[in-house]
Amino acid sequence: MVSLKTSLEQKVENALLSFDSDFVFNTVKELLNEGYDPLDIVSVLSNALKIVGEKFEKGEIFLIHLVTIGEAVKRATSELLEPLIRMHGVKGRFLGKVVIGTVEGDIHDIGKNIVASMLFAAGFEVYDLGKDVPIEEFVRKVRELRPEILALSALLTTTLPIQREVIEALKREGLRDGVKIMVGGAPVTRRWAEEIGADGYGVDAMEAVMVAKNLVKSSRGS
Amino acid sequence: MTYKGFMWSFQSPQQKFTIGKVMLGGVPGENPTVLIGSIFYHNQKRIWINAADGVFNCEEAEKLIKLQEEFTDKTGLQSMLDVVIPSGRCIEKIIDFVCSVTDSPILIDSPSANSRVEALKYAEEVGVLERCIYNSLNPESSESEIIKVKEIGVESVVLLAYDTKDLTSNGKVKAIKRLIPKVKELKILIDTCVIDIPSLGLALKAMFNLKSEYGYPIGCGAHNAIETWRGLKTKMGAQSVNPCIAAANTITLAAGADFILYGPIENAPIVFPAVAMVNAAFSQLLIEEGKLPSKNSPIFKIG
Repeated sequence: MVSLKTSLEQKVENALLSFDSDFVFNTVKELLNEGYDPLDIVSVLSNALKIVGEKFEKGEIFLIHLVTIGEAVKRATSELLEPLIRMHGVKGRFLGKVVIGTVEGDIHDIGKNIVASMLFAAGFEVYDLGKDVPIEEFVRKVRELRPEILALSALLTTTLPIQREVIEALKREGLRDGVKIMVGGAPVTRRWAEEIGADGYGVDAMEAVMVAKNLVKSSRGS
Repeated sequence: MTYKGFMWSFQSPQQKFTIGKVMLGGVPGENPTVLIGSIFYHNQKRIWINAADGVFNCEEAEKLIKLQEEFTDKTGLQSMLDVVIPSGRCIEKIIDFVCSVTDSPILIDSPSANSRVEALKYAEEVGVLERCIYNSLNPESSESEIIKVKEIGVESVVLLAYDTKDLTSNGKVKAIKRLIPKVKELKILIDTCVIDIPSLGLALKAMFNLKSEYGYPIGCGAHNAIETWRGLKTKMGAQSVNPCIAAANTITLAAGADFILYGPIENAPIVFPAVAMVNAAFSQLLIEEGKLPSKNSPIFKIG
């Protein structure tokens, strides 16, 4: 049976499923040396990540594999692909700009890192502020970068209220209407997202990407 | 000084600590394994009435603590409680309650560093600090958290081998090597960090290597391999759960575990007999080497 996958797709998928960060990094480097467009590689990475997500859903791989792949993609994109994409000024080809971070008081970032990697691979320009990010830092970055989306992660029930505080702070600064806000993290529910006035919520990284795409569409349509 | 036995060879002398009434560490089989059940964890439906306000069912909580004690007595294994503080509002109620119903050592645990530190302070105020263990510090713990933990004066601390950027067995070893110099004056327990089934394998390798190099009491939360196994019930059937809980916990003994964070305290009747059986089998290896395990060990109780 002939595979419908291109050799590029197969190479990237194999690299991701090797669970080896250096192999992913070297594969991306090799593809760039062969002359592939960085944005085409991003697109193929995005599809490969989707396959990885499906494998996780089916129980064919485990959480540790998902985290390892997320970190490997993050490294390859931040060190190899992003600089090239920014250097060539192809911003117009991004789907939109996302600022993402785990809120103050919370140092958990496994889920946030996976979402950030998948958003980038899906074609977003991602600014990852890391974890334990102060409210003022989110406000400052929204003012400075004017992203289409701000994504706030929280794992603890004790840090969950900070998501609401970030939204309130953006309102006070007159920045709320210019940005769509997504929230996520283990204790976050759709009801909580609605209660605090967020625009979107994803139960997992794959849904987060879908929600982000819809939010950008709706903000441009309005 | 090295130890060379049939199953294990360690480069360093194996350290033994007394925490409250529990003796922890040594070569495998020398001291009964310490089993640590978690209580007051998020979603422990049997206990929580309203977790946000710190309202819980004291009667049910006491029954669970007594269940662990019953199996401790039956098997000869040792036990501690991993007390998971869900929020700052519950600290006093939980610690007062736990200390009123048991004299077991307590691991002060919480997903929030602030709550852990506040709980430790409260334990010091009410005079139970000597039986508390701070659970835990990891390579990402802030300097201020480490300073506060030391200032409060707790004697024992769990170091968690967790580095999101390097999830390999070697990454676990390196994470602990970075932490040890920061707390070397304390009694150190090492948790090699299990998040799922594959990481259980890595945790076992790191466990053996760290125990050999440093000799500190070591263990892990093997139950996480089961908690995060999404296909266990759906693919294997509900009858598979308990044997897998027993297997995940007992396999750690082969890597030299001194303690096991066995997860929900409700699982005591599944975990204690299985661990006692393996502990007894390993004790006989020690007897064959001319050493006697402690007189309360499972080998002298469970037959």
